[in-house]
Amino acid sequence: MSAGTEPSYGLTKKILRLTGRDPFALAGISIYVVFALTALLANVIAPHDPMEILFLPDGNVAMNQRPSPSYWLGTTSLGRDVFSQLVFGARSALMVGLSAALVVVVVGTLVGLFSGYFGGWVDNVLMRIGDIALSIPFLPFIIVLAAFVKPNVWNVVIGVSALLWPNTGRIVRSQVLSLRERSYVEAAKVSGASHLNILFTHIAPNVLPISFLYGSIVVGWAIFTEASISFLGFGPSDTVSWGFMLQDAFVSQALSRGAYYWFIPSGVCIMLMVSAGFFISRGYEELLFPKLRD
Amino acid sequence: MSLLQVEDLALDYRSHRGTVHALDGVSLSLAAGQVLGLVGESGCGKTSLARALTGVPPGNARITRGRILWQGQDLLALSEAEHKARRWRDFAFIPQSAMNALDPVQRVSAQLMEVLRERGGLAQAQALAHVDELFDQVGIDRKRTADYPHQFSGGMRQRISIAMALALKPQLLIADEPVTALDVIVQRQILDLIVALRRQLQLSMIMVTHDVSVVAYVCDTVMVMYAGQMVEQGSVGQVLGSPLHPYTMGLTRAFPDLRQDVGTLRHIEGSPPDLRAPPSGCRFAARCPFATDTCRQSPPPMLEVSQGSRRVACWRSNEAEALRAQWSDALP
Amino acid sequence: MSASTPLVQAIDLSKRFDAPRGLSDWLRGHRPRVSAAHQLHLSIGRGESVGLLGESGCGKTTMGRMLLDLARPTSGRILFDGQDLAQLDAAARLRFRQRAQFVFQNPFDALNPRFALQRSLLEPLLHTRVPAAEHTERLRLALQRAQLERLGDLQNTYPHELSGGQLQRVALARALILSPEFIVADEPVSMLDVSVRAGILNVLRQVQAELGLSALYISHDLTLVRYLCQRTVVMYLGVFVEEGPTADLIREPLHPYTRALLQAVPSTRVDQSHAPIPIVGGVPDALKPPSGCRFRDRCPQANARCAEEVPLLRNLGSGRRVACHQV
Repeated sequence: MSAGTEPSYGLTKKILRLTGRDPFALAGISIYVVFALTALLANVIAPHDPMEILFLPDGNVAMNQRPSPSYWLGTTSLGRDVFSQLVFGARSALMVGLSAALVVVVVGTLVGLFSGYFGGWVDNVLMRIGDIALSIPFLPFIIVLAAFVKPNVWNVVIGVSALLWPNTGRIVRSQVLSLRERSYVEAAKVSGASHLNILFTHIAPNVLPISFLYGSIVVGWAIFTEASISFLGFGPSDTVSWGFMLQDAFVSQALSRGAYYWFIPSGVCIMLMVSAGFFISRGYEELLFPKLRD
Repeated sequence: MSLLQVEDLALDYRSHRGTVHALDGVSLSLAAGQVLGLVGESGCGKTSLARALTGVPPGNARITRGRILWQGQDLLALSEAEHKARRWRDFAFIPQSAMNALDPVQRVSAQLMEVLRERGGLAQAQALAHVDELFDQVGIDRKRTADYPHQFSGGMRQRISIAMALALKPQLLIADEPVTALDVIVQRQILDLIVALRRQLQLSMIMVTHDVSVVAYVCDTVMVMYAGQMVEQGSVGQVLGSPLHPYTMGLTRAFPDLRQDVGTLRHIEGSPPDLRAPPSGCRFAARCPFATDTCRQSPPPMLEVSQGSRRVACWRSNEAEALRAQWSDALP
Repeated sequence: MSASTPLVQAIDLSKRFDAPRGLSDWLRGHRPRVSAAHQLHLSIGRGESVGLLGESGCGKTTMGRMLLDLARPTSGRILFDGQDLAQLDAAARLRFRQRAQFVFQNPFDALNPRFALQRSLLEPLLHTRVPAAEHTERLRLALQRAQLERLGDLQNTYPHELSGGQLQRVALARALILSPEFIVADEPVSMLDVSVRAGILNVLRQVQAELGLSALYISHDLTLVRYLCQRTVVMYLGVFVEEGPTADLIREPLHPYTRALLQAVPSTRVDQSHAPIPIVGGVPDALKPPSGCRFRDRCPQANARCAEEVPLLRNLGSGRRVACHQV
């Protein structure tokens, strides 16, 4: 007759413990940390301004330079330092990623909470809206959006969040459905608690760790989305992002010129960020996808 | 030669919160055809003991000393393969909540067949016939062998678990809390089934339970456990009728008998000690109304009483009769 | 208020749950339903302790929850101190919550694992807007009544540090902190070790006596009901089959189901009878209960009339009622 319930308050502790033990979790977190530091210290790390056109000692534009001690990853066809672009690209990537993750977490959690707790028509309406969001094909949506709205970073964030919130919403909802049945929730009702009180003092704290975990996966995905948008040419042209770098390289026919130093690094960075998201979901699998308890 | 003999068994669990000494020097002996009850509250080590006997302790458990002799052979010295050969065939284990451990996506007949064919090496046709027999034995309609576990009630699923355990005709059945989660009437029906099967198949059994009444109904001998140690052992009549250890006195008195006058229940205050740092003296001293300084300082030795048929670990066991009379007055 | 008006009254209470509909049901226009409670009448007087006895699935928990407005009946009314629960406005409902409380079955789930004990204990006071000045005293009293004075630092202790028995006492203290007049306890000891149950039963008995509470004890355990309840109602598959003063019921059970329940209860005596109990099979499917008397397919005495006619709960005098054609 020992304790049969899993206290969900231990979730935060479990997350920390798994980070220490599971290689996937550790990998995912490390990647995020490295990029976060890069973004924060971009001004210190990058040798040049990313948009600055650089000149060789002889006065010519330093275009298409191969990697050398002065230009670690070479330069673009317009004479800009690739490495500096990469470093500042991290900043833009993280801004997009974190903002989108924040919106997704907030919207997804609120929707999941209300949907799961109240059920009935509230649940139906919210989940159907979520279904619509999930069924919108990504690329056409972006193209249409770009046609109507001026391409800037924040519109990208909104576009990405609008498509990504339903998954978090669903997961939170299913957590809420099971939490709603707990005796201590009923006990709160019997004590005279209002619905909103129960929702935000009893249920929400137990759901937030999952929301944040999903949010961290969204970071990688949002970056990938933004990169796709930029690569297709629908992104903002005034900020340097990895997607912008890829597009720039593509348009300048970098591949045929063998300028691997230009497009491979940014591609690798995008891939790492998305992979980090997957590593996190794999490493924290037992928390995100709990096995059925008896 | 006794069927099963456990000598001075000690078992630890290692967790990130420290090492729990779940068992500390437990010994028992079971003769063929005997039914032994292991009784005690949660955390006393009875389930750890049962699982150690089957050779499948949980991953973080380590047996630190002792021997488990099955028909004279030390099970702990065997390799996993040799041990596996004995599981299901010589002894079978029905874990706690076995009724919830049935595979929900496999038909019941398939699950029984798996045991019969993989472990028993029976041919398909033989195994199928045997499944029907097993269902008859545990009192379920033969027509339901093709059903899924969720189509059965809790009591029937427990019967299926019993059938699975008996599939290869083991000599010893170890059941951990077999009727705890069941309602009164179903509980009685399952216990009656166990009693009947024991008679028909001449089974030896070990029943692990926190419920003294189950022991009184089914068992011949009983071992009372507390905080990883044995405190009293003997025949059911002796131990429950005239307990020698204060803890046993508490257990029997805490159980209200429907057929007697209501009176007032006497309960034991407090909780068992933390097994990560067990006390140096008698482990029950903190809760015992009769504890003396000796009890608190030194662990009581295991004494043999009544020509060796009973054992008790208590400094004041020779005063048991007087203490029993005082039990009601001694508590708050 | 007249002392003879019952505090809690359930009148013609029914509760039906819709079961999921399969395609064949839909095609036939059939709605599978479980009748968890069927036209039940129950009244609990002031200071009276009533036992609701039955096995899992009989609907007793549903009944308890309806009495505390945690579930709404499909038909029928519930009156608390003369007021219909379904008609209460928000303010009246809050006052009701102060006067009626619930003790849950699972002590390990009854307290929010993230809250320190003190927070869980004071929660009812916050919701019902009891002035802060009263909190300390109420807390002390509640802990004393639940016999938890030695628990120590409440602000820094969390549920996972306590044993089942202690948790259930904390849950009880929380229920008592509003000084309710009526409590419903749903299987208060079934998830605790047998050796721990006595402690909780003693606390409940004492609290009841000291505070003069009206109480409904829901249980499948006859020994609990005998220890705590003056009057007992036996429930089977959504209907009441027998009712009466507990001592009389146990000494002389009239309904075959009650008799089977009594015989099935084990004791610690070694010489107890192993005779088979007078009942067959398991509880039938709640979606398709037997026609007529719901107990007839398990009853050793069933005859043709039992299959055709539903037996009504008849008054036999001295508080005893039975629903059986053969009594």
